[in-house]
Amino acid sequence: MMSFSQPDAFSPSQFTSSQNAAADSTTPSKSRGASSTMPLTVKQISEAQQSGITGEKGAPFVVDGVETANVRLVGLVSGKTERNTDVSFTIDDGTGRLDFIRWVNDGADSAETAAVQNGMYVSVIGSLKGLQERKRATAFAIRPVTDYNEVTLHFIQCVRMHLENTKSQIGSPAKTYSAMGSSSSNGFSEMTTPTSVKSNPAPVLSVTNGSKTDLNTEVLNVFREPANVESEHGVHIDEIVKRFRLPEAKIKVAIDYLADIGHIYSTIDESHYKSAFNE
Amino acid sequence: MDTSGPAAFVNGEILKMFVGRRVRTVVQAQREEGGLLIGQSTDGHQLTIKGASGAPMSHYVEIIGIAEPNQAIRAEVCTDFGENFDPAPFNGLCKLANGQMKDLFL
Repeated sequence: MMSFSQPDAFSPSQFTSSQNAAADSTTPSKSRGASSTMPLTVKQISEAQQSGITGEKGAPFVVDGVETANVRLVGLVSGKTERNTDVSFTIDDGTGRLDFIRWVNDGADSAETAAVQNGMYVSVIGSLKGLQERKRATAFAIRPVTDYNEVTLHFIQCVRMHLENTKSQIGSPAKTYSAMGSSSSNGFSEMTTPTSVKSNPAPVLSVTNGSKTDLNTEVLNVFREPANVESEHGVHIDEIVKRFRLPEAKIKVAIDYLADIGHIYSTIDESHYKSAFNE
Repeated sequence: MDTSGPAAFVNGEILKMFVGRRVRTVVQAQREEGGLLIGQSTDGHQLTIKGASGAPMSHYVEIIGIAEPNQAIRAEVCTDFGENFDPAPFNGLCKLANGQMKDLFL
């Protein structure tokens, strides 16, 4: 009989369990558009070229003519190795394997990496390092996948992003990847968004003139204000609550969502957050 | 970084083109027959999974392994995707990943 734990090594007769079969309200919907991280496959990363002088250290990688600041991968964890200052692991997304390192600075980092086990599906956000064939990545956000529709969705987002970028790249030089508009006519209908994702729309903020603005975007804009970008510790949740004059629970939902999809990350504690991508 | 052994996204129909190669698919577990898992692919085909007994019936299960003749897969990695998995988008992804978007995956 199969074990439903998270085994260190896979054997054909072991199943990794659903880490949580319930639909996860933080799963991002592709129709929400704007994303500061680029969903990619390892295959795409393997073909990414560095911009600037060939082999220049620290030069950003270019995928589909777009410079990538942060990338998002979804795949299986293997080879997890814990040390005092960092945790290294490999992500296999089915198209290839990429090595990651996650620096551990405090208890929150330790808790995040402790939740990740070999054989588990995870969503990782990080930045690419290394030179061409020796690419690796530094992770700054990693979380277990709890709704497996997210695996499908991630790859659909990779396709969508590729179409979006290549469509707008004809004859233009490499541009830095920035927030992408949500309107897209690339042939993906609502059918391609898994049911559980569609049933969890983003929190919406009603505005006095009757129009509706995505609360997630409004909150994210606060984190992206220059003063908050430069702040060492980021923004405290209480400041956001005061700004919007909304219940803390509602703001917390938006912040959790933004953190889960890698737009923001916690700094000194679970109440301070910073934007993960500075335009 | 290593991209030497990719697993192709397949449904029942596409599986036939990858015999002997590494594939990944999702099946809905239907029954067990002598240590084999019989599952329904996202496009309605019946697949035989070797080495994957013990899957909860009616759950969706991701199988990564080697494609064999007669709609069979020799499982290497099995992950229980639970009961709330939506097979339609996955089926569409299989078509995309083996068609116009092949370069992103294989």
